[in-house]
Amino acid sequence: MIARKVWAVAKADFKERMRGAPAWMAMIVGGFLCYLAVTGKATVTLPFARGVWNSAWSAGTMATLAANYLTLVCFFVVRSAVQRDEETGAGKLMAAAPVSNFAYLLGKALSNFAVVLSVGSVFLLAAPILQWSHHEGYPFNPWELINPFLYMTIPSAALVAAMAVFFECHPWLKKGIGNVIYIFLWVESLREAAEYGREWTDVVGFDGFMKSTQAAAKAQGVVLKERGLNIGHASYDHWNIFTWHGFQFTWQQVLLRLEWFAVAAALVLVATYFFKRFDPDAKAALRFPLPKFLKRKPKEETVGKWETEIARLSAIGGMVGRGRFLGIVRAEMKLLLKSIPKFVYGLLAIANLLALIPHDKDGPTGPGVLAFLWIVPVIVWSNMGAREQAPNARPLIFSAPHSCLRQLPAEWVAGFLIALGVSLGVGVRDIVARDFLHLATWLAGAAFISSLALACGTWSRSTRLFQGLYCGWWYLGMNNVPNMDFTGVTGQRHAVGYAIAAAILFGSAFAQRWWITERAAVMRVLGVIRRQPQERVQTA
Amino acid sequence: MKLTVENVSKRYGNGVQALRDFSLELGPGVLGLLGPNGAGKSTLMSILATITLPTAGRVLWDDGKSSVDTASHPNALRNVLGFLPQDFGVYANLSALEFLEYLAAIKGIDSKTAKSRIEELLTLVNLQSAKTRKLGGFSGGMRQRVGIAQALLNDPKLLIVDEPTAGLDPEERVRFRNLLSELSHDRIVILSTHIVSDVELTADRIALVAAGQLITCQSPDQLLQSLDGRVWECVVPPDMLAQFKSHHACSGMVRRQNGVHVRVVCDEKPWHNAVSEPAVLEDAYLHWVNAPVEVAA
Repeated sequence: MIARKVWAVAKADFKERMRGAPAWMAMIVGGFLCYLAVTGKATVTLPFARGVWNSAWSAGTMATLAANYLTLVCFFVVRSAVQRDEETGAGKLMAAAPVSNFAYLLGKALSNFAVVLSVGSVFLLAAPILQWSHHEGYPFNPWELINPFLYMTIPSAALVAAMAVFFECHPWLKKGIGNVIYIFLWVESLREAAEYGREWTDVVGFDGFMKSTQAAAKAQGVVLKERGLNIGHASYDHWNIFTWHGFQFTWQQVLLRLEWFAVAAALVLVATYFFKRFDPDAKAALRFPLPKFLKRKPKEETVGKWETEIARLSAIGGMVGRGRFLGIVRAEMKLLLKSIPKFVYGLLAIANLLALIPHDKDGPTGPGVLAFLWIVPVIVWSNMGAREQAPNARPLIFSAPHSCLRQLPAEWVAGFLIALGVSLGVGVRDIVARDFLHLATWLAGAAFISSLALACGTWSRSTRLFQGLYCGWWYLGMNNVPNMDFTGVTGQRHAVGYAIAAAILFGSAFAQRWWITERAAVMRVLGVIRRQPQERVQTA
Repeated sequence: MKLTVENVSKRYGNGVQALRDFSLELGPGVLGLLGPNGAGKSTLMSILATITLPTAGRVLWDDGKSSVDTASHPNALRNVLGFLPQDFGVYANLSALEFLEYLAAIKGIDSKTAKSRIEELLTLVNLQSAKTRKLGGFSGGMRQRVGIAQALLNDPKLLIVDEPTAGLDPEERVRFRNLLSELSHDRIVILSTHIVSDVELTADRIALVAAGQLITCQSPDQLLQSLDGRVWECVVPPDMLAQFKSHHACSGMVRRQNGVHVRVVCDEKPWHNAVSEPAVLEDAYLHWVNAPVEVAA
């Protein structure tokens, strides 16, 4: 009976998800990655070496790309199974039904797993196309085409599915901060696999892939000078070519890959502790009991009766629409800053003071502090553009006059001022030190953050796109990847480039809002929409 | 079959006291739960539906064989519970049939029984022709009918419905009220609503709730009898209306040429031209809900 309940939860959730846009979008983007792979723009190679393009190597390339893509993007795609039940109210029906927490969450995790694998199937289907496109290692070998996916993709998909459920149930991780933490966990797990070669921490199977391919290369007399895996475009003057036939699947390897299924099951089990069956008082169930003297006495609420004397209200007809732009900016800032706990302000103040200390160019203070100052408010910025598109807020905000010309720019200014405000010490230091080049970078960076947040929020209607994209961008920038440092911390100075990017991103957000709120009026002026009904009445 | 609510209190984590020392005993029949917004009705429903726990007191379910505390043994109640929450949403991409199949499975109904039961319920709520359409394309009333169908899936002994007629057109409302009356023959039905007429026409007993407390629980006739000779209608000049309202609880006002016709609940004749009127349930509701709790109790 439990199995049937698990199956029912998984089946319904999977159907619901696969008929929605996000899963299909993920498949389309995955398909684009496959296209890049087939056209040679996204390849997987070892240092100065690659395999013959037979079935195993083609599938290995696709499985590596899939493992990367699925563990990052699909986490955000599937991270809404429990949340959707909460938002739609369907969760209350489940909560009142005789289904255990474990059965429900296991069903959700299985559904997540199926969704991730469905997206991953795009890569599996593209593997023979990749092999065919290189005309190198025929014939097609079905086992070799599946083999790397079994080793790399499936265990990591199971882990992503379970982590999504765990993050959704944990009271802190289910918030925006959870997305940020996941990004850093993901980056660290890739680094761990690439650098340290510990098999038992190799989630995505990169270490196993490197060891297996290196062993094959060595057996064929191809000596690799360094350990590593290039994902992306690599071109060497001379390639060492070897033949790889896939993973051997020794008992040890099988157990090491099964490890991730065990971790996934454990995560679902732990999630049942945090999952409170949509109890509206769930927070209280997780709160540590405080001694009586520490408890705050709740305020007694008094509810007044309705005032029905309409004559007592003042007429304000002539005042509507006269609100000042700065007033909207102030209101937007208040809304955005509301979510920051007070201790964070303390942290930011200390970091700003550190920024004022004279420093070496590569020291930890000065501009270096900016890296910290501009990652802390990521949750605040992620609300921009998305908050007003929530189903219950949309009618209120978009029915207000000129939301495109007033509210949207005001929101951008608020985001920009927050970026400047949290890092004011850096600006002051730049002025004192006459480092005007960094000052310009700082200003452009702030504008870029605000525009990126607004564009991500307006187009995706969600906070997650910005959280994922920004953290990734920030991380690449901090690792000195060319053109990616918008803070100027690593010495890169791209004030003009980021200012242009900010303008384009803001323009795209503006276009989206205009399309939603103003297009009808303009189209009517252009004659695209005619006042047909009135003409018909006259004719009649 | 009996559901007993014993001294139940609920204080939320944010300090809001939603229920205070609430006690009630229910047998087969329809109990109408009436009260203003924020009275604690939804909290009571959530506790009865085993979604949230009381901070004090207990809820006992007696199926005739044994009596269990629903907080300790929630599945004993969940097996026989049908629940239609107030903010009820659906999976927009599933069809009505798929959604009901899913809920039947998680309620533990075997697939053969579920299949025939779902067909019956879809006929009952008049959704046979739309059963394969995605729920996302359903109107509010159609979604509500799916909600009603899911609440009846497991042939519940305890049926809890929160604002069930919201979004239904008048004809559907009548159908649903009749359905509730028919169902109440051999089960406990708890109906929470703001629509007084829904309760008046279906409930055997009405529980009035305000500020988290049970004010009274009586049959509709008893509630009306309690206002015998205390409901008045009078014509008040418009310029005197504000002063009049500050002294009396008005349950209705209509502005006409000869002045404002006001309906008042009070012990003594409120105005020189006041005429005694038969009480309706809305008068009783306003009278009891506005009365000080200690007096009402």
